[in-house]
Amino acid sequence: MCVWCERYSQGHERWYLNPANYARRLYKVRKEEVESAGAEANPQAAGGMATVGRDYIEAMQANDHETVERLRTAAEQRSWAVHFGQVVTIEEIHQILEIIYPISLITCACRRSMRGLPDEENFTCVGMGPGMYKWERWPETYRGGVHFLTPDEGKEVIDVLNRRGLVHCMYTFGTPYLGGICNCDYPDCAGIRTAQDLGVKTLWKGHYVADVDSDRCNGCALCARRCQFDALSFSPSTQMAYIDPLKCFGCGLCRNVCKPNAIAMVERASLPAVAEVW
Amino acid sequence: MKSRYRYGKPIPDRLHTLEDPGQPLAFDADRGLITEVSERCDVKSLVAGLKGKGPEESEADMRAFGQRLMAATIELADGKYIDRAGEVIEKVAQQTGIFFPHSLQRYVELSIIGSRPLDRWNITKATTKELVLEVFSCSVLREMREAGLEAGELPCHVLCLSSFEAAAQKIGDGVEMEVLKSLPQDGVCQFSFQHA
Ligand code: SF4
Ligand code: SF4
Repeated sequence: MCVWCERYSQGHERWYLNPANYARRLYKVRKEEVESAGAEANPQAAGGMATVGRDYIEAMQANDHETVERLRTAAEQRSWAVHFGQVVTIEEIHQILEIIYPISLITCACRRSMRGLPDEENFTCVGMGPGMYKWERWPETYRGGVHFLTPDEGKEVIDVLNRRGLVHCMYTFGTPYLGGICNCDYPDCAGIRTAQDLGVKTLWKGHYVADVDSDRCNGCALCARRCQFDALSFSPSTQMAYIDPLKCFGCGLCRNVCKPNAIAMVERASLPAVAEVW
Repeated sequence: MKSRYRYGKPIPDRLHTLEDPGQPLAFDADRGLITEVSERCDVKSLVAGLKGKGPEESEADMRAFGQRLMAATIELADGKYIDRAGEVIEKVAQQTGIFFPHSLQRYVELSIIGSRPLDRWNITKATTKELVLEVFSCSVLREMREAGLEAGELPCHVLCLSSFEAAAQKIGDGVEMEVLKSLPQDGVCQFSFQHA
């Protein structure tokens, strides 16, 4: 069990399967002054890359471990209180889509800034919960517009993104409130980059670890291109896939393309060596 | 339903875009709604009127108050004090065919904010199958206690339930209601609304 399940699952199997972490009031009493478009806190500004600044990169380059450690700790504490993610499998996303509403397909802020993708090619992110009814408050974040979907339509969209090879991550917006399903890859996504390249844990590993059954693996190497976390390699000598359980984030993308079902997703908690590796 | 989603592309006919860029929009509950609902449905006078009445009469008063409260809320929330959140909730419901929970949640919330704006409460579950409201501090109960009227079963549950019932009828969407917890015993009044 991860620390977020310990704190916020309230008897549910996982904290992100607890409906309380998605429910919020729709209303508060209006302030005296006029509500102006865009004046509210911008959800996009809470994004992963904003977690650390130039001073962190400079300290890394200078091998100033003390400063790196201090800045990392501060950045992680900030991120965990406000905006961080955890990887989930497609089965879990389908369960989540049954307990969240509304569900909206929106553009991805990371791909917009990293790839410069135009809005009409960038609808790969899912925003959810009552805040989405107020999306016009943040016109720049949602400048491409918003589609509202039924849970079944949401599942179809997620399936398309999964086939494409994107990792599904649940993101908080004021922990433990979960407001987004990011569908990520490396190097587009700030969450993965901040975790992988900068060592700042703004993205937590999921509750599963992939395991290859060497008796079933036929060496097709289809899985080799799926991993966004550098956890999966293909051995030229054995002609088999190898997964490093310490690096695996448990997204299940490799398992989803394995025709002979040689990859199983195993509960992290059942593997003592990685049970506490998040 | 087929979403017609192709990777990365907007879905034809489903895209909401800014209707009036740069224009301020009001999403929160209007203070005018609170003033008018509080005037029309005054909790203090309701409780004062209960003094000396038996349980049946009290219950009837509570029921009538609840119905009047929700009628006033719906009239003002959908008319004079319509807010942008309400407009978008309705637009989304028309598009997806899913009215529960938020069409109901909207009326429930505005009726509480309208009649007792200082109460503490929260929504702890809002799925397409169940809505759960928790009230932690309630001015109806407080007024009743101050007037020495709190005894046994809480008659004020009738007030809340008749009000919520009127909202459920308005959205016309097969909703069952249950009181799961009560403030005096559990420290919270918990209402569950289940969608058939
Ligand atoms: S996809 Fe499956 S069979 Fe193919 S290499 Fe990977 S684990 Fe082996
Ligand atoms: S090894 Fe497989 S399950 Fe693990 S992170 Fe890589 S793609 Fe995901």
